[in-house]
Amino acid sequence: MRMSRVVLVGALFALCTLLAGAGWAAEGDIVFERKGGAESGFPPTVFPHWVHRIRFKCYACHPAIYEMKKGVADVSMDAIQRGESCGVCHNDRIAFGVSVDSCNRCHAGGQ
Amino acid sequence: MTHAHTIVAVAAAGYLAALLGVGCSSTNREDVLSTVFDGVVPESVPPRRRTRRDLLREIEDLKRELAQAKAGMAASQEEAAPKEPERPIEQAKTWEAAAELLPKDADGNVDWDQALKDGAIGPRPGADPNAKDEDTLQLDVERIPADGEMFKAVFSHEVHTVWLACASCHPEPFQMAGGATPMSMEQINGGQGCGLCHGTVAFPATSCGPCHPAMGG
Repeated sequence: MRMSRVVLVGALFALCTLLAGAGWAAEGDIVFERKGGAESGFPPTVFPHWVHRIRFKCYACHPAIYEMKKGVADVSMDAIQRGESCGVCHNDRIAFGVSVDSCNRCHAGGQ
Repeated sequence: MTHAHTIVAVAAAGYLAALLGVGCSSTNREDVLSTVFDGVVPESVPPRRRTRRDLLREIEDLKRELAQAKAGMAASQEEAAPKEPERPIEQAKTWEAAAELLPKDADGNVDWDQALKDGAIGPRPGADPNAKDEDTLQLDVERIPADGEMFKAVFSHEVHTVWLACASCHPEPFQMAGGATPMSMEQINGGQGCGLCHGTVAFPATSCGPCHPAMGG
């Protein structure tokens, strides 16, 4: 699978404004777009900051896991399954891990 | 054979048997044999051939040990991370539901600092359950733009260091030297600098008061 890339927050803001009506998007959401363009039919991942913010302080992730800079984070299934990036917590110990049942919890973009 | 011969033969046999018995027993063997020989080969018990029963018993022992070890690990893990009561907001399934549980500031934006003080949220300092909260920094930084004193902005380190560590912002995107990093509302509204967070995960720049004391509501 090609690696994902964080898109400009400006575009995200517009997207969120559109999605806000759907009742799902929130401020701070980051949509990951695949570098190679739309791949298969698998929905892109939307990272919801609010879900994480209510549980962790900013410095739990920034900059220890993620630089506060757009476009540099390695967010890919490879990294996650190695225990890096999202996988630092999403490993079935601190938070839900990768499994057949959990795909939709992240890959829910476009809803 | 005469009687005497028989007696002697029996006695000799008995004597030899006694010698053998004493000499061959593992306790006295060395002492007895070393009276005649220089060295005695140490007795080593050849290992008994392991039967199926032995193996099965070993398996049971190992299984028991494993179960004990797992139970021990689980117990220590539970001790290390005591289950905190889950806050209602952590069960919210949508942002709308969560936002309802969060206090708002004067401009109607979510007031995260108040949420923290109220206990509506309980953000942890790290994934590690033993992680400690970082200290806050008491340091206000003022910026007076070219437009004039009225637009002076005051940045409170104290408020920000509740959430962020030094490395979160320094030196990228903010240089440590005061006044060194160019800033503008345009930049902020474009999602750079302060706008990385303000407008995304913190109150948007449409709320003037918190940063510009002279422009507060």
